[in-house]
Amino acid sequence: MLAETWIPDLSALFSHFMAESILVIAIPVIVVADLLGKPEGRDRRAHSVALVALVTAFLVALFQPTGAHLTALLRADGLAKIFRLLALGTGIVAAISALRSRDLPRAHTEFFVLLLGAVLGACLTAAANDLAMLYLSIETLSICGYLLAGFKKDEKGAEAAMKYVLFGAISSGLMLYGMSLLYGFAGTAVLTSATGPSIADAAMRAGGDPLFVVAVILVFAGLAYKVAAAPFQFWCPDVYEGSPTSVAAFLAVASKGAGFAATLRVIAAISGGGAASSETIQAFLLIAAVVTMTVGNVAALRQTNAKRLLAYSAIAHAGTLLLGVAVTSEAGVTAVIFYMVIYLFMTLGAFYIVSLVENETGRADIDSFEGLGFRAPMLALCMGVCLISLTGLPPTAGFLGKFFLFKEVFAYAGREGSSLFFWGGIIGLLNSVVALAYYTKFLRAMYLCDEDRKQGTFKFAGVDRSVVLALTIPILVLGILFQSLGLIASNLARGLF
Amino acid sequence: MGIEVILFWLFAAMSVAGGLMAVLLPRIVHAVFSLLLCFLGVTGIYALAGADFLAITQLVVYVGGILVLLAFGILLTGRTAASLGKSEVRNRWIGLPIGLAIFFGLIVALDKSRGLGGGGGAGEAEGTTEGLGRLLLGDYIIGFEFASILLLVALIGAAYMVRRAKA
Repeated sequence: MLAETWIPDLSALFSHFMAESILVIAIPVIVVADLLGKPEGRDRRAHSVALVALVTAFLVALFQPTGAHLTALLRADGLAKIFRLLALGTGIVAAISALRSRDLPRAHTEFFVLLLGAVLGACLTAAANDLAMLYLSIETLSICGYLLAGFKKDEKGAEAAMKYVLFGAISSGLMLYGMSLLYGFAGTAVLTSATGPSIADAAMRAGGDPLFVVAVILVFAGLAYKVAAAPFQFWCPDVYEGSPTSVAAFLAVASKGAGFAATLRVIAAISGGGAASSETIQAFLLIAAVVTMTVGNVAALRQTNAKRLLAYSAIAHAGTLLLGVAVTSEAGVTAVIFYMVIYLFMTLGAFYIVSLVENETGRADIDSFEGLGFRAPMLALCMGVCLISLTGLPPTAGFLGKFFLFKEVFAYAGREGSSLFFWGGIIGLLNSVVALAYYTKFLRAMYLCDEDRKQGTFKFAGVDRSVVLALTIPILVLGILFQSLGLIASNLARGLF
Repeated sequence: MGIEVILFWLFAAMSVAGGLMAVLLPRIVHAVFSLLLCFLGVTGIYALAGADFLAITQLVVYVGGILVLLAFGILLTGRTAASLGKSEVRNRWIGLPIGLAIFFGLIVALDKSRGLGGGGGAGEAEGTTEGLGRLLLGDYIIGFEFASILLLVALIGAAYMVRRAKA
């Protein structure tokens, strides 16, 4: 009975998930490479395999076909494609940053296995179309995240890992409870399906049932923790501060991106056909967005540690992105994807420069940036570009990201006559002004400081220079060539609603 | 009231009481043993719902595995129950209202709901071991295989975490 039909044909699936397959193969290869050959070359073998796998997977993912409903579990659509590329790209930068940093313990085999596992989890989270698969991939991403956060095994690292685990466990429990209710409503765990029953159908049938809304909000609790949205943002500053800087950058971009991809997919499934519950859920998302960005921005004002400040800024950006999610339309998704791509460059750029400064001075305080504008003019200039973009000022791409996102929010408010969305957008704009106040702390430290801090040189290698330039030049280029990125983003968002 | 309803409330009370005791009891050994009550209650609920495979798995994995692991964990960390000290309940006055608010929110939502109505998507026969096996190696094969990657990665990470730093 070998030819029984219930065994699915997986050959088509592999061609659409080639990048993930490469990562799956690379993980055991790293472990085996650790055991073969001389023990001294162990770290080098581990990070070479990991880097080759990540770069190959990234290149393959660029040309991977999209579309086609291959299996109920995974979708190979535009959303999966762009967030897979974001995860792989972040993985590459985090890997290089980890290799260049002085504080990474000499245990590269373990570090890179965990990093590849986290990237794999992020890729599949973005593709998952089934609650069971979604949960499994989110947990893979989280478990690797917990271990990476505590990788330094010092006191701060232990605190970071412990906080991350405890918050993760609570929010994942809430999410599972919500998922079980959704399963009860639909009789299946599949989010959208062309043929069989799905949660999207159940959303139509349930109408405005309060229990259905509760179920969605509970699922959102788990995802809110991944994207660091209020009230699940408390772990964020402590975890970023205690983790190796490369890991913090990974959590800020890839982990958040995967969370947003999953949120978009769940929200699209349950509000696609204009289900009655979607208005309540939209209002909930909008309030969560406004609270998140306000909490993030206000708390960021008092920070003196660069990593903590960037953590609060990451929370604020999660709020901004949630505004785009709350619009729940294809145009909204386009704006979110557009913003997310730009967010990758500016956040990774800022974190990379922080890790360089940390290498040189041993600290990640804003004080340690003093005089950087004179000791390393290029580095300071790049940091300036990232910060201006994070604030959302022209001529950087960050301005356009915010512009398109708020345009969608106000367009929605005008179309639906929703005063909630109008005021949400207004508070969002005001928040950008607050953001300016704390990002300029860096600029002041770098350029306006005592004469004696301007002396001396700041050493960094050619690799660092290339990475920093590769991350900051796109911020300026995309500020001009935004139309092509907008076009790509709208193509990728197509068909989600 | 049928025997099933009585049994359900019995098992439900066991799970809730076990869970509450595990959280609130000050001594860690007591907390571990009250988890036993909780796990057994959940096993009973699975069995009542006709999920025979899940009930057995719950028994084998949680009671046979996790609980024994917890007990050994206490044993092998070389501390007696007395020297472990007592766990305390903090943030009582913030936690209590939030917990109660969520509890009553859920009750209201349940009360106003017209019921789940999804029906058993898995069907009558799927609750058995055979149906689950077919699902795991059929529709869910990707997830099933992916779980092994998760376990491998978690194992490597755990081995790193417990390793002592080289002198």
